[in-house]
Amino acid sequence: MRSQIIKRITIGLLTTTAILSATSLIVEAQQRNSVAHPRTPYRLSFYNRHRRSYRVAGALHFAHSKLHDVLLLTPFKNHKKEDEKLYQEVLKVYNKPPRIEPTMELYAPYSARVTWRLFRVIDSIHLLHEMTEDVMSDKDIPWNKKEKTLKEAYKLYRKKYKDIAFSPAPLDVTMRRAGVMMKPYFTLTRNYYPKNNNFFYAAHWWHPAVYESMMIGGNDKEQDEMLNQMENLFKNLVIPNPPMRMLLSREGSPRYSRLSPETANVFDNLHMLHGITYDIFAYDGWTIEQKRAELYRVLKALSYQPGDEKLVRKFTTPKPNINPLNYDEWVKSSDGAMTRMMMEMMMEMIPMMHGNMKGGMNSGMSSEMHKKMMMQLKMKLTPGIQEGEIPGSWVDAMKVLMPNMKMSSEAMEPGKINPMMVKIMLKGWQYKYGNLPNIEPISMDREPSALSILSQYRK
Amino acid sequence: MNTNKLKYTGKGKSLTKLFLGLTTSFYLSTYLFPKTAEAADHLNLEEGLPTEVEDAYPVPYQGIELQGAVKYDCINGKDSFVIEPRLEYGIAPNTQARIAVPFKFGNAESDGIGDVGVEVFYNFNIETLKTPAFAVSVGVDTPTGEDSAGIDPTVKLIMTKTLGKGTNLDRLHLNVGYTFNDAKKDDERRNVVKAVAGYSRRLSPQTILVTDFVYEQEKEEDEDTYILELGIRQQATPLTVWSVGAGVGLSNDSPDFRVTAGIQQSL
Repeated sequence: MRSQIIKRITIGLLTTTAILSATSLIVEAQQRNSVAHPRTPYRLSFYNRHRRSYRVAGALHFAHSKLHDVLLLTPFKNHKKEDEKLYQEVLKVYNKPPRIEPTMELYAPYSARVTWRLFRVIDSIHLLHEMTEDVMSDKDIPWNKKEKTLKEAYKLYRKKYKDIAFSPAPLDVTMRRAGVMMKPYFTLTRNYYPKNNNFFYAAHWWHPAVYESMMIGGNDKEQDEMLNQMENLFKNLVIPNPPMRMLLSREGSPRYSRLSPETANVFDNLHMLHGITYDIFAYDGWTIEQKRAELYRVLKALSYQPGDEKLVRKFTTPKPNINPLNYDEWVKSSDGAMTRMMMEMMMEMIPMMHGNMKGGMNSGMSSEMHKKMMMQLKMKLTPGIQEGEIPGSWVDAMKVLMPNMKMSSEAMEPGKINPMMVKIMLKGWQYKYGNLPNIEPISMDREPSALSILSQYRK
Repeated sequence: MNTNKLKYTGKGKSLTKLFLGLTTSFYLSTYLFPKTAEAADHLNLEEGLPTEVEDAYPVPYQGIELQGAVKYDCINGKDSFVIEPRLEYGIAPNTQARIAVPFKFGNAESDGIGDVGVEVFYNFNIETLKTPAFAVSVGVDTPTGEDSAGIDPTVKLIMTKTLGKGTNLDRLHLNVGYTFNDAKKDDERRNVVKAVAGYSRRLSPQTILVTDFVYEQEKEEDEDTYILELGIRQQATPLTVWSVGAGVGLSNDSPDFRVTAGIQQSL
């Protein structure tokens, strides 16, 4: 009798719950659309050969994952406390990293339910990171076959993730397509969550440093030694004193960028996506739905577009012979390709903003205002709040500087962009860099020797 | 999967079949399937690994996974030991197919192969803040076991919902299954129901805790089992997950206790 009652209650409860839940299913439900990772001969080479670095990647991806939920679930006004709290947790995880690289969902289950497409994009590019690291780690792939295998890896990525694959064009182009500078969230994370932001700047030093250490070390045991020395440097110098900008692949791994420009550019585009996402999530002026609309617009802008192949080598390498084990002032500085790119975009937009100023300023912006504005932008692009910096996001600062400026409402709205603004910026890029010769591929005929570099660190 | 009616083949023969089955599955999957594999995922709950509850997500498209589930039940002081190799394959986006071959040993029932099961699993949607993830699986148990007759179809509805903000990835899972007993005997039910309510939680980056309450109607009339289970799933390498669990029966018809173990290997 008792068991009959338990049985009926159990069945009743479960059936009711299932029916009620099923009826709430939205008709246009999204699906996961997860795709299995390519089963390549070089799979897990990085995991098997460079376990220390593999685990560091796990810690970095933990940090990336967790910040999503922290920003979405805590009010912006608590930024100082939350920044410190998460940073301490991140350091703890870095010192005892996961044995297996976590997916984004593992530490950001809230964001996974809100913006699943974002996590598909991030996890797919993390897979591309793994594949390219595997290729470079695999001793069975001769040095002169690395380029071909990397190209195949990139093609696999494009094929597997064709609906979400990121652009192989340089960030200079994709940032202009994204048009985020005039959005109310731009710079919030770097200004108000500097500890975690800077940890990611360290992480974005680390990724290029891994590739460049391999490019210098070659296939033999010098590669292992280079990576170990690089990890020592990362732990002792880079994490305590991170770079003040997001280092691009062409800056931190110029040799690798010449070898596999497609993947190097995809990585830069992903690293910038992290920053933009955190800014959107940190901004508390929008609802969750508005944040998702804006984020998905950005994802589309950063995605592959026909013709992007022609742009993959449109960049220069400021330090083509960089030694990743030399953590110098140039690497640490807030001045670099990223900052230059933002300044250029601002300059490109100024004529358009002028036309939008109330009362008309057709005679042009005064040189004094121009100077003030660019100085504020430089401060906004630097992590934290500098002396003399106007509080808030970059748009907040502009409103204070130029109260009569009428912002394009379309450009400010979530999920929308002023197409004219994007067009003007892309025209600006074309004017400056359209005729830039393609950067030369790097010769892989002879395996390099890292003896001269390593001898300095062997003492 | 009906493992109650089992054909006696002798332990040696069964073990040989098990070994041959696993080896054949491995080579077939290596040569026949596309060159893709997904890292075995400790988040993706699988039936019997180590508890009965499963979540609403399949293996990724073109993912291949070999699984081995081992279950020991102590039933009225007698031993029942089931080893079940399985092969799962992501046959289409959000869809997986599975084939499972159970082998049973011990003095609770006859030794030998049980009913081979084939199942297709489809996920309808991702979970959102309001809507749980839903899936359905449709399968058949073929009468490969001794005294087994008829092809018994099963349909199962599966739901997964994250609890609250999901800080520790706390998730609730509900599974409700219905099996049509095709070749019903006099003392058997025609309609058989199984319901599982489960909960999972992230304990560490590599470890997931899973617990469930299982209500299962046996084919035999008036035999219902109630089991409470607890287990962990551990990501051992990027391609391997192992799991262990234990359970206790809550009624006279239920096993006294249960111990489970399993391994999942992506190819």
